[in-house]
Amino acid sequence: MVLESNDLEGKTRDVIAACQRGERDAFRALFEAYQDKVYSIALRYSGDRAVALDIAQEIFLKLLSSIGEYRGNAGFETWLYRVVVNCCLDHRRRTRRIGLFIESLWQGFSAPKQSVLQDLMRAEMEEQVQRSVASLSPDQRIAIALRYTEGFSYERIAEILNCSMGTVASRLNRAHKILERRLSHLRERR
Amino acid sequence: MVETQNTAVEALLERHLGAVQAPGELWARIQNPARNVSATRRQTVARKLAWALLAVVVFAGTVSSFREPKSFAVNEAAALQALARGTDDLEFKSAKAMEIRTWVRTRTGIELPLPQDSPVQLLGARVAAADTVEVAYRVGDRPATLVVSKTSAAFFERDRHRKLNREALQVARTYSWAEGSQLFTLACAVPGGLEAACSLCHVYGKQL
Repeated sequence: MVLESNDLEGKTRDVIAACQRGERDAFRALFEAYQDKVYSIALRYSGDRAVALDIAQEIFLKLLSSIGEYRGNAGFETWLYRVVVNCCLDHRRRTRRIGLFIESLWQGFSAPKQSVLQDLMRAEMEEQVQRSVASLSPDQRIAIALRYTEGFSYERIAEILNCSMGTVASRLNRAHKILERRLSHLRERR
Repeated sequence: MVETQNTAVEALLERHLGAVQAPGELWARIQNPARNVSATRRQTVARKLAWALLAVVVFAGTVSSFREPKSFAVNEAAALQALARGTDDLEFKSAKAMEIRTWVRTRTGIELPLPQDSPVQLLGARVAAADTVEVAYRVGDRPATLVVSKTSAAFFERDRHRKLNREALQVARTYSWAEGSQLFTLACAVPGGLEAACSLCHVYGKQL
C-alpha cells in the first residue's frame, strides 16, 4: 500500500483504522508518507543527524503504540505533529556541548568529498545556520523547525503547539533577533 | 495576526532549514524496536571520540617533535658558542660555587645545582639572554660549559636525565635534558669529555 502525503486526508480514516487494527502494511504506508517530514523536524530541532534518527525512531514507535488513542476529533496531521513536538521537547539535550565540540573536530577530519567550492560553502553555511538554531531554547527551536522546515503558517503552528498565535509570533520574533545577530556574517557573505 | 516580513534572516532560514530525506535505516530501526534507541548516537559519539583522541595524540606528537629538539638545539648552539668564545667575556669570574649560584640567581632567577665541593675548576658565569645563563669551568685541562635556560615548553621526555646513556656521552660533545621549568645543556670542548664534565654537579656519583 502506497500512501502519498497529499491524498492522505482522503484515505486517512481507512489507513488509521487499518493501523489501529494492527495492519503492518498500513503502518508502513503511514511511515512512507511522513518519514521525511518527521525526520526533518527532528533534525532541524536537534541539529544532529544521529539524535534526529533517535527522535524519529522514538516518534514512530510512539505512533505505533498510541495510534489506538487517536479518536479522529482533531486532524490526523495535527495529532501527528503534536506527537513529533512532544518527542522533540522530551528528548534530552544530553552531551550537547561536548557533542558540538567533537562534531566540529569530526567534521574537520571527515571533510565533504565534493570538490565544488560552492557546495562546500553551502554546506558550511547550512552547518552554521543549524548550529545557531540548535543553540536556541527548545520552544524557539520547535517553532523555527515548523515554520521553516514545514513552511507552516503561524496559525497552523499555534494549533500544533496548542498555544496562541501571539505566542508563536513572540517566539519566532525572539528567535529571529537572536539568529540575526549570530548569522550576520553569513548574510554579508551571501 | 500579521506574520513577520521576509527579512534577510528568514530568507537564510528558508534556504538552509528545508526538509531532508530520512535515512533508509529508520524503517529497520522501527521494525526492530529491541534495538537501543541511542545505539546510533553511541556509535557516532564513540567514533568521534576516537577521532578526537587521535587528533590530540597527533597534536601532542607534533608539538613535541617541533618544540623539544628546537629548544634543545638552541641551548646546544649556545653551549658550543660559549666554548668557542672561551672565558674572556665572562661577566662574573669566580671559582666559588656559592658565589656563582648567588650571582646567577640574582641576575636571572635561575637556580643552579652547583655543589660547594665540586671537583671541577669553576671559572665564572655569563648571562647569555634574559633567561639563559652559561657557567664556564674546567675538568682537568678540558674546557666545559653548562648552559641553563628557562622554558615554558611542554616536554614529553622529562626523565631523560635519569635515563642517561653513558655510551652517548663518550662520543657526543653536548647533552641536554629538562628539569622543572629549566633546560640544561652540558658541553665539553673535547669529544668524550662529557662524562667527566658531569662532575660539575655529581660528586662521587651522587646526584644533587
